[in-house]
Amino acid sequence: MATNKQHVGLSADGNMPESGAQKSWMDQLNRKRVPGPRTPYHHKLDARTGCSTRAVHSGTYHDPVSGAVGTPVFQSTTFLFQDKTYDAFFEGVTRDVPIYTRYGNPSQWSVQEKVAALEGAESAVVFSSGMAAIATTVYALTNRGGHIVTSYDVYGGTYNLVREDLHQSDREVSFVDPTDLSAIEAAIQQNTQMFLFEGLSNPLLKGLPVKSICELARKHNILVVIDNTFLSPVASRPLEFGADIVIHSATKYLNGHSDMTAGVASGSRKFLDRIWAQMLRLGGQLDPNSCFLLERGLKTLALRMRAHSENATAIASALDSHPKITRVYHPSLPGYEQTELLDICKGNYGGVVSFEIEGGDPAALAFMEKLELAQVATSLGGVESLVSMPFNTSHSSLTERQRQQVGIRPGLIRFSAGVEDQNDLLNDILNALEQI
Amino acid sequence: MKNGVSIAGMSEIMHEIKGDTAEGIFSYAAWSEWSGGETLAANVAPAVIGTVKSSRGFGWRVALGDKAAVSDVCQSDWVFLPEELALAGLGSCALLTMVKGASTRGSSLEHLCFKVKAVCHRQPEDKVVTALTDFDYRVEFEADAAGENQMFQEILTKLSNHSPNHRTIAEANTVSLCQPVKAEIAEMAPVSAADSQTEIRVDVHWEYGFQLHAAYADGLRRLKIDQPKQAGGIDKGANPQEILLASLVACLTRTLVAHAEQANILLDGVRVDASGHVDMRGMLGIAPEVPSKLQNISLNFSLDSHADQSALHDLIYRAAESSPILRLLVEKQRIALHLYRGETFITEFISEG
Ligand SMILES: Cc1ncc(COP(=O)(O)O)c(C=O)c1O
Repeated sequence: MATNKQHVGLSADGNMPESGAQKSWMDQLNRKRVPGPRTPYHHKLDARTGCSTRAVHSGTYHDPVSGAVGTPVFQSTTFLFQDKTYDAFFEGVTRDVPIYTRYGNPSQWSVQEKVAALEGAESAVVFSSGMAAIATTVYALTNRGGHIVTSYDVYGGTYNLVREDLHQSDREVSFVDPTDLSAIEAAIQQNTQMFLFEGLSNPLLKGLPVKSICELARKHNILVVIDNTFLSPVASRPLEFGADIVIHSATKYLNGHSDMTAGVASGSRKFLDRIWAQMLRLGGQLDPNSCFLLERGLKTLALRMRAHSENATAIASALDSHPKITRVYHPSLPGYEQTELLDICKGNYGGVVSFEIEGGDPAALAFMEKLELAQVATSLGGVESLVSMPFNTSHSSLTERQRQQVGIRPGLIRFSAGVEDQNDLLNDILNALEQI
Repeated sequence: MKNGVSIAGMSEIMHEIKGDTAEGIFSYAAWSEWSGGETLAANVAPAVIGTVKSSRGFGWRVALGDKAAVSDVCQSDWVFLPEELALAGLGSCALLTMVKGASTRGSSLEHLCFKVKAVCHRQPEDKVVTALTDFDYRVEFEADAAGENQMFQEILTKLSNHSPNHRTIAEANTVSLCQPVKAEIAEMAPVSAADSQTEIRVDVHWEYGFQLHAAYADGLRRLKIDQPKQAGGIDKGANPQEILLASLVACLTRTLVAHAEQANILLDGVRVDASGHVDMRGMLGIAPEVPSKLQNISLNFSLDSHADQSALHDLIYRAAESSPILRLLVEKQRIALHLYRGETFITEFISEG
């Protein structure tokens, strides 16, 4: 029977500041920022491995006692204290030592390590939802009196956060067309601290000129936060282009099975420590059981993204010339304007394809009714195909004029292609179109 | 956490700066605005902490004349003098440096207060302030047993070598005027011996972490001080460098308006911007050759007036040359430090450039 004193103990060994009477000044302190948090039992892969390999192996906790191949679920809210735990409190390294699950739990560390490895980040924090990740990040990295530049066509929940809450904590917000670099530049103020954009916009799939935006931001000491939910790290890794933080609604592709809600932010340890500290106070951490689900879902991310993307591309191509479709939005189609995205994504654009049905909203609603495979429901990124209309769901909080401004026209449908067989999906869509 | 300070956070920032000097440049700015009336507004502009911007929403009303104003009803009615801001900027910087030193050495503080005094020189007849000299810090602390007196003596010596605002006034500096006139100010005309001398004081109290407040003799007015959250604080108030720069812009605006009046130049508005940076390698002790003080202090003026440009430029020079806060930055000052544990005297010494 192990006693309190005998457990192995996971700690920030060797990387404590070691304050004390012998330290004459701050230059004598030892601690540097290190990637993680992780323990020696969390699988750390060589950065040269491919993304499918990282999706499977990165972050797996190899339990030294049982030899379990997969990460155990650390379904515990609290962890035994040892002397090092008290040191961690005094020296301020509580993110690196298991203390209490809101602070950190090896199940969280596993899935954080996996996402960080996929995004090319030093560190990540998992949250109970994508919105928790976004709200916590925005509050952590801006100050009272700060200014944020974002766009009208960000996800509706994000739009509501920046419009309804931020002014209450004295943050200003400007909305621009994120594909228009000169509009972004014109929106910069002396107090601008953050660009908050989506890598691929919802629902019109406008590609963000992420490299140019990051260059512009650097010149003005502005942080770039990219919501990469629609693309996934398989398609695009914005940190490689100079973004500071990448956020996901892990509810979507990262988990991929429409059976749990989660969010994640990743980036440098410097910024993630601040996001983590904000998360401690706001309390949006992910519980260990959900970490297990998310970690399991992530293992097949690369496989799934290939299938999602192939299906969406095939649907886009089939509908582009269909007489009942007035317009199709998909990066794979000729004439796609945001060519920077094409260079970045190399053919993998995620699973969303949007199109306008002749006859406007009534015809589009009728079309959705006739679908048999694809389910009419909001959300995206799961293995099953989902279909919905932005005007009465994600973008219902915009006025008619604002919807027009971002290009959401009557009859617009957002189709989230799942991983079903391509022919079955195409038949389902074509049959439904025939019936309207 | 020791004394509300994350030791790990301090250590990480120090190592980050060791690895990348750009992360050690902390740039601060303040601006003042006057458009008629007996007071002006002094505000803090966004700071850049290494490569990360920090928005700063702090500001004060400052008197054009020699009278601060107190209200026990409404804090927004409080009016400060530029000299009062300057003393708060000095004491708070030294105090924060002491908190960092004590925390690094693992000592828990129970109480820490810097009682800052200086001699304020005024022209005998019209009460215009000409200089601040003879600075004096009475440092009172209480700490746990781990913090031996010897340790605090050492920390006091360290702070006299590392506190950026302390070093800024202890050493001579050149201040640059950039817009609309270009000039480098490296010396000032001597102060007249005929000036009257009075004492000015402020007590800077440590609250917790990097949060402090300066309390003035009237017993009502207070000024909150903190570090930006990008530098380990929680944004409760302006930081010591920002307060020092705010005192400078307020002082220059005051002297500009006074000189304009004397010269019968009609001014509709004045804006003065000041900026400077601290290279934190000096403060942190990483690079002994790097001065730990406000560097590249530069000033921009914008005057709203129909008077001719040369008269306005002349006005700016004269205001700069007669600003007591500019003098404080340009000339070396002598600062006496006295250390007390509670009421018990421990040590004292003079710190000079
Ligand atoms: C692009 C995007 N970001 C963020 C979110 C919010 O994520 P969650 O629902 O997990 O809070 C969503 C959800 O639909 C989304 O589509």
